[in-house]
Amino acid sequence: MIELTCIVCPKGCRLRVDENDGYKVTGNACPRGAAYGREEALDPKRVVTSTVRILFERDAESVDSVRPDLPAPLPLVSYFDPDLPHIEARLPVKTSVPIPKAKIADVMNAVHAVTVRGPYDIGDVIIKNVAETGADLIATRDLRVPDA
Amino acid sequence: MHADLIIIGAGPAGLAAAAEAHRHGIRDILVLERDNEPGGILNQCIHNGFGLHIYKEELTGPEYAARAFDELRDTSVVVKQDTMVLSVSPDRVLSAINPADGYFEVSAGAIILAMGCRERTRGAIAIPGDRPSGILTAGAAQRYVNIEGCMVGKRVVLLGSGDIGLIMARRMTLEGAEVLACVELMPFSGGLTRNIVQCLQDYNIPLMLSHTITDIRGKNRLQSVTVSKVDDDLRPIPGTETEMECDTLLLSVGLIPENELSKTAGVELDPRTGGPRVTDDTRTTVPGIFACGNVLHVHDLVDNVTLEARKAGRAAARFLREEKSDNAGPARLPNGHGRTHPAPSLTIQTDHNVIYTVPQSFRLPLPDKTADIYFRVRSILRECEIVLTDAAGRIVRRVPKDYMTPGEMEKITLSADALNELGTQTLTLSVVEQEARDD
Repeated sequence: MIELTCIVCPKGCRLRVDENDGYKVTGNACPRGAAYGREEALDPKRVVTSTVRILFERDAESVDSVRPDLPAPLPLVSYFDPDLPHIEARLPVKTSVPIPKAKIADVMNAVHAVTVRGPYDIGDVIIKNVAETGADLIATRDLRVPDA
Repeated sequence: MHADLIIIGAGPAGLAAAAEAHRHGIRDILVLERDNEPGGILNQCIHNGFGLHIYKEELTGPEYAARAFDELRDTSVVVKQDTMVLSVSPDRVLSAINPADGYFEVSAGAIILAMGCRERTRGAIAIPGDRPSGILTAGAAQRYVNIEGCMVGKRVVLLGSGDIGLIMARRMTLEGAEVLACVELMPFSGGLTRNIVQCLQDYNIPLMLSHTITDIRGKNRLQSVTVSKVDDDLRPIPGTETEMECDTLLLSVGLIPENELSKTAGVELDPRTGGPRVTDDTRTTVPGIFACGNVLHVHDLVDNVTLEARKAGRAAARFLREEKSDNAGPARLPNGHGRTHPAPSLTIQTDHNVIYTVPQSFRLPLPDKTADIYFRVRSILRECEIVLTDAAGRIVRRVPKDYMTPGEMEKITLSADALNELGTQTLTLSVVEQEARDD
């Protein structure tokens, strides 16, 4: 018997899923809860989000105001600031689709092993088929490389 | 210096308000942002789950921020970053400071307050004990880990089960720390069920309900915390203490709307929300000053922040248009939304089960077809009914609910026609439990 908390709605029903009885779900107040319980017991999946290390230095040009109608380079971009040597900027990433829960540690190992240089746009692939999950690790933010 | 509309804060609220005001014809819009980039707290919320309602997909915080900022592309909205607003006067003159302009003053036709909220700290909840390093709010830890790339500890105890704390429990675990427990004073969590499951249960982190921290030890760095069970009156029970060795204590014990600037403008605050008192169109008690997002009341979902901010953007645009036509001639405003004569209004009061409502009142006649009341309940309620009654005790609206929790903001939507018909009076919003109703 697998015990789960349903997350379909705030009510949080205590679900019991019987793996010896065709993954029958009890304790659910609605059909959506039964579907959630079955899937969560059979093949639980999660989107993994984390950050990867950025490997470059830049001269942090200061921009005083951002005009969205002008080609302003900095907003919503990860960057490395050499004036703050202890700060290592990170590029946020996520798996492109939910991956099996059992593979989360493998994905995190791959995330920890990689350093990136960019440039990247949101959605660009950082690691293809990360940890053999079938999902790609993708950037969730732009990463611009300053002109040398 | 002058701008038609000044928005304080370029987080999700400020960005959405700016885009919406621009869509409604306002061109001279200045957004003042304290940080070195727009996006606000979303930039450090790298987890997913944002935007299901607005964008119909699950985005991470930075992705949501990018969408919100993209809405300003090809507009005349100016975002001034690295800019700290120091004060706002009741007649809408702001003083501010930044490295490029130094100190400056700027007047505004209208102002939208969108400063967000702050975390409660150790001082705010008065935990006794030593004062070593290693005690920080969950949001501060989130910034260190996700943006600056610094781990903040190895053995972690989390006090409070707010959503940021739950998210950080998972985040710290994924980055190699051991999270010993999530300690929650109340008999229920204030966080979303989804976060309890996916951040605590997924990683076997125990949730200790009805417990609190009663002592902190450590000379330089935190060495241990003492966890005690509490009774029904939330008082620690002697003899239930356990000591947990840890080097880090994360606090997720509530958020407070950030209203220091609102106070300088003379905006009246509601002690229940910690934010300005507003009418349905996000007007504060000071003419021409509007408020939206977490500065108004703490939201669970950024989608709701965006919706509220769009309302503020529309309201500010409407206010500016009315001001203009007011100044152009002697004609009174057709809908009574003038600034010198208060419009008729419906006030909403609450019963003991409801902590607060936003808005606190409606200006009549209402500008849109429908109007929403957002509110939170005080405790977990089952098999209950939301009841809105008029001054004579007649039921205006009733909505049955299976389950309500303080951790989830509730909403009822009302037809504007029905509210307009009620006229100036006080409505009462209650939540009635089944047993009470059967009496």
